[in-house]
This record gives sequence, C-alpha cells and structure tokens, in this order.
Amino acid sequence: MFSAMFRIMKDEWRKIVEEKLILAVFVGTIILYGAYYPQPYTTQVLRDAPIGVVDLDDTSVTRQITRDIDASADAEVVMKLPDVTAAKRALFERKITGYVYFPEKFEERLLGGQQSPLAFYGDAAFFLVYSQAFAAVSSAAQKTGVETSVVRLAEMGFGSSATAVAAPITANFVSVYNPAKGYNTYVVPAAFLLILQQILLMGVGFLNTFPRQNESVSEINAFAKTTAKLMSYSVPAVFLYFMATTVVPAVYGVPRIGGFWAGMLIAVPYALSIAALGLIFAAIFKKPLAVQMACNCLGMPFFFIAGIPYPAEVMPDAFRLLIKAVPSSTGIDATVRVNQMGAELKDVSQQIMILVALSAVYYLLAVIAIDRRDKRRAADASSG
Amino acid sequence: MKTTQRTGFGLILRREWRWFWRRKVLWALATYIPLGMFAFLAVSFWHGVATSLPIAVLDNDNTQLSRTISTRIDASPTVEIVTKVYDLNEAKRNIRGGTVYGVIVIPEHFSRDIMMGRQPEMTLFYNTQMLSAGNQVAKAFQEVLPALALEAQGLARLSKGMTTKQAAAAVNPIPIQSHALFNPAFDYSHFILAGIIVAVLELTIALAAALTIILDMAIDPKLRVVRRMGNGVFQVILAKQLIIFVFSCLVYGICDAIMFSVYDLPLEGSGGLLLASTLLFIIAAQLFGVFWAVLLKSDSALAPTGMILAPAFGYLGVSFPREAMSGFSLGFSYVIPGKAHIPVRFDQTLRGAPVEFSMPAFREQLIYIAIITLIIAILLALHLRRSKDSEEEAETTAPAGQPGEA
Repeated sequence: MFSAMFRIMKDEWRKIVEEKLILAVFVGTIILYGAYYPQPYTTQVLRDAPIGVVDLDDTSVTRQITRDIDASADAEVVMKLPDVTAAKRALFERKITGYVYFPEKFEERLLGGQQSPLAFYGDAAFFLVYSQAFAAVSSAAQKTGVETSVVRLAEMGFGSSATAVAAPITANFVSVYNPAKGYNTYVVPAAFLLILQQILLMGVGFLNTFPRQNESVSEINAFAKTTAKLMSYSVPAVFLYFMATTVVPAVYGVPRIGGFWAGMLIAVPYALSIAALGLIFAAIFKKPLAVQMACNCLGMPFFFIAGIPYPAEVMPDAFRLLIKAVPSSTGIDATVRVNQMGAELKDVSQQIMILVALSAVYYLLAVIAIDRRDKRRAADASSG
Repeated sequence: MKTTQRTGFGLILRREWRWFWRRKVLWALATYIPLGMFAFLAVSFWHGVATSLPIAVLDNDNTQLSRTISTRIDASPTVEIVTKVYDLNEAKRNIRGGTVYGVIVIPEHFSRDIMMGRQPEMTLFYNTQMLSAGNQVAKAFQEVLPALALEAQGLARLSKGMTTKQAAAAVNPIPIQSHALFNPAFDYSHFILAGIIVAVLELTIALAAALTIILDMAIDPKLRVVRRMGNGVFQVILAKQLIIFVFSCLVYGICDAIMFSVYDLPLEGSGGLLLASTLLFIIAAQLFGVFWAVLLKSDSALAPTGMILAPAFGYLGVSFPREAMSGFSLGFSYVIPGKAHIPVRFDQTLRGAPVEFSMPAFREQLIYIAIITLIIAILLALHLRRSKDSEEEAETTAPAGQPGEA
C-alpha cells in the first residue's frame, strides 16, 4: 500500500511540474500577487492629512492653534479659506480632507473664561484619515486651551493647583504591535495568508479536475489515496507558506516577531484543511474552469470576513460562527497573532483547535468525495 | 431544405441568448455569483457600525474615582470593558490572544495624585495590528477624555468652590465640535460595502464578458461561424455583450436597491448622474474582459482578468486614500475599470456633491471606454486581417472548383 501511496504522491508532483498551468498557479501567482497587491499601501500611512482653516476670528490664539496643527505630523494646513462655502468646495474637490472653523470672538470668549468651541468638519470617508486629522486638531486645541486655563486659574488664586484643575489627568496613547500604524503592516500578512489559501485551493482543484492521463491506482482505498494526495500537497504548501509569511512581508518591511515553530504548528492544520477543501472543491466543481471561477470569486469575500479589514463585531454573531468553516477566517487571525504579535501557542489554542477540527472534517469529506469518484469511474469503466 | 440563411444582429442575439442559458459558468457569473458574493458580504456588514469593541481595564488604584472612570469609559457605545486584568503581562496576553483590542491602565495612587495636582497619566494600549478596530478604540477613549477629566477634577475643584460651568471651562476650554461629514455614524457599510460592490461587480462582469467570447473562440478561433451569422464581428461582440450588460444592470440594480433600502445608503446627489456613471462602469468592466479575450483568444484570458481585478480593491481608493498611494499604484489604477466610477458613486450618494464636482471623474469614465474600445478595435482588425489572409491562403491552396464564401 505504501508503494502505491508513494506512486500517487509522485504522480501529483509530476503533474505539478509538467502541467505548466498548475506550476504557474503554484509558483507564478504568489510572485505576481507579491509584486502587485501591496503596491497601493507601500507608503504605509498618509503623512500630513491636508486640511483647511476658516478663521473668522483671526487673532493670535487662532493663528497659534493653526500653526500647531500644521506643525503636527498628522496634518498640514494647506489652505486658508474665507468662508464655509469655499471650504465645502475644496472638500468636494478633494483638495482637503477637512477644515477647522474658528467663529468670531473665539479668543475673546476663551480669555473671558468661557468655553470657546471650535468646529472640525472632516471627511469621514476614510476613517483613518479622519481620526488622524481630528487628533491633530484636538491636541493643538488642547495645548492652547490648557495654557490659557492655567494662566486664568492662577489669576483666580488657584496657585499651584491650577494645572490640576485645568488638566487633572493626562492621557497616553500607546499603539502596540504596529506602532507606526502602517497600512501594509496591517494588511499584507493577512492578505497573503488569504492568497495562500486561494492559490492552494485552485492548484489542488486543478490537479484533481484536469483530464487524467494515468490515474489507474485503484488498488488502494480512498483513505490511503486521500492521505497520499494531501501529503504530496505539503510541498507546494510549504513553498506558499514560506513566500506568504516570510518573503513577501520581508520585501515590504513588515516586521515578524513570532517564532518559526509556533507558526508551523498553525501552518500544518491551516494548509491541511485548505488542501482537503481543495479536493472537495474539485468534486463539487468538476471542471478546471469552474474551480478557477470559484477561487477567483471567493477570494474577496473570504478576505473581508477575516476580521482584519473591519472588526468582526460588525458581523452578526451567527454569521461569525458560520464563517469559521472557512480556514482563512481562523488561520489568518491565529497566524498574524503568532507571527506579527508574538503570541504564544496557548494564546491561540482555540484557533488551533478550530483548524484541527476543520482539517479532520474536510479530510473525511475529501475521502468520501474521492471514494465516490473512484466508484463512479469504476462503474463507467465496466459499463464502457 | 432552406438554401438561404438569414443573418444579422437579431439572429446572433437569439443564438447568444440560447447559449447563455446553456453555459452554466457564464450565467452563474452574470447572475447568482455576484449576487451571492454581495449577499454574503452584506450580511457580514449587518451591524454597519462597530459597537462594544472589547477592551480590558487594569485598575491599579481601585478607588471610588477609578471605578467611576471605568464606568464612564464602559458607557461609550464603541467599547465595552469585558474583563479586568491585574498586571501588564495579563494585559499583553489578552491583546495578543484577541480577547480585547486594548487595555486602559489606571495608575497606582491615581486619586491621591489628582488631589495633589500631580496630573496622573492614564495609558491606553491599543492593538494597531488590527488597525481598524484599534483606531476605533483609541477614538472612543479620546472622546470620553473630557468627561473623565471633569470627573477627576471634581476632587481638586471642590475645595475651591468653583461652579460646574467654571469647572467645565477650565478643564475643556476649547471643546471641539466634530462633524464627521458624509458618514457621521462611521458606518462601515456606507463606505466599504458600497465600494466592495464595485470591486465584486467589476470582477464578475469582466470575467463574464471575457468568457462569453472565449467559449466561442475555444472552438472556432477565428469566430468564422458566428461572424457569418451576425454579419460581422462587431455584431457578434455587441450581441454577446448586450446580454451580459442587461444582467449586470439587473444585478447592480438589486445590490443598490438593498444598499438604499436595507442599509440606508443616502442618495444625496443626482440619481441621473449616478445611473449614467453606473452604466458606463458596467460597459468599462465588460470592455476590460473583452480586451483580454481578444488579446489572448483562449481560456488563458481569464487568468489576467481575474488576477488583476480580484485583488484590485486597494487600487480603487476605498479603504486607503489615493493621496497616500505610491506613483505606480496611482498610475496603474487608471487600468482598473471601477476607478473613475468610485468618486462619482460616493459624490452622488453620500457626499451630496453638486454634479460639477463629479464631472472630471465622469469624463474619465468616457475616456476609458473610448481608449479601450479603440484598442479592442485595433486588435480585432489585426486578428481578422490575419485570419482573412489565412482564409485566402487556404482558398488558393484548395482544390479547384471549391466555392468561395459569398
């Protein structure tokens, strides 16, 4: 039986090498995607979100706040606008991502001890840009506000406790695991684990739907056959995993702090569940064209539901449970946590258990699919 | 038996209609695949707004004030304190393992330091490897800070007999009235999902447009039979694409009907311009597929069509601003059929921009169609000229007495 299994493995490897299309899928696609996909995000962040200022007060205080906004790394004051109409126009023309509005008597109110509000109108289309511009405006206003308050409170006799009243607490925001908030650092590791899945699905699907030349090994049962096939796919899987988690992130400067072996312990059930799913895809779709279309079209939805582009909390609970059937939904999360965030295996034990369960279920389904296919072929052969 | 056959656009259109339903992958691509993809994604955006993002608190002070502060933070709809942690290691483990997106640390002697005017520092550790969720947590904390300061300040100001109004002015002298324009609720469905529709449809439309041509070319590379039926290659391509166009319009219509009715996507601008831009987008996506089909003339045309469009979401400028893109991405985005449609779509739905502001993008859509049509025409002319030459060559080498094509 082992020699028959080994023959199947050799057969699959031979097809990978000889069928140019399959070789192109396994090797070429990840290289092309590696070059193409991350390009929009290579700058990582938008430095200096362009904003405008409508200053109806035009006093030393408003000018100081404007200078402070401009000096921050998050925003740049690119135009001063005479009124709100002009600001809206600039916003519609996409010349600015938001504008600050200082009303008349802004300084007078502030120095008079009243609250003196300013308004920030930001384009919330890009949440990241909006929060960046808002943070710049907010910290500039806070700085001037506290300075003014402290002076006034001191005059009121607060003395040394003026600061405590004006700014009783301070807040420190520490972003962890992607401190520079790089977009590529955020997207690339997740996206390439998804691309790995789609390539492996497509490659395994192709291998099992292309016209068979000499698939005559019927002396072994479906279990052994499925096992042999899945073992043979470990070679392209290891290559894809290495490309997706090491080469591509390194090219784009995405840091990796996780240990190799911890990553591998997730990679094995992840790849196994995908490869088994690929065998099931082949049984369902039957033709290479249908496999290709399915893999092309499923990639995008699978990526969005991985909980990376938007928080999983946006999804309904039942849906969150249902999508665990897709290996990437759990595999991406677990791998990113281990590779990029240095999580230990016990931190992601639940995700690993899900992947192992998926592997077992898909493995059994793949065995059933292959068994049925072999029986059908045998029936065709005897009737033919 | 009939000796003369009718030819022309009507005949080829009927033939294509019949074949459309027989070619399972084709009609799947033009109908239920994009609808299924949209339905799947739409469900995933069901709540639209991220609420109750899990965070933890590490309360090293554990006083009445620190507990009140925790309660204040928990009251924010964006975040929810799901657990208390007792040291930084536990905090780190919770972030790493995914139980929480962030941890708020209240330092030891927090209340005492406030009383003494030492300005104790509260720290938020938030996970920016999960950038979108992490930023939401940071924004929620930033928004709740003035209220926390007011709460904390209570201890210091009470002894000085300040009024509440004076206290508020002291702690927050310049309140910021923030107006998140065009998407005040930060609803993911209004931007991301509305943009994903374009990404999904440009992929399936282009694949269907390419496939409908390839399926004939695979059997008859020079399209001789259908060209004869249609009285020319232009009629053949038009008939094939007309069917894809009609179904694509229906699919886009259904998706947008759901966006406007179920997801409350506002239509602030011109419905007419939105419709015109949508139709141009569908045509542009079809032409993208036709280009690859005519260029490669085989199944292999599906590979570049899918490979360029399946991961093209980033190039559309929906999730990441175009202002921040690299030169290559900006240049390459002009190849993507949905690129010029996106600004018109957002202008005329969410942004409510006057029509004039969408016109540059609308014109870009027209230019895209003109250029790609011209390229396709040149490719077809070259292909047919070659095929005509080879036909003539075949005729000259054919045995005498063979009738030529009329």
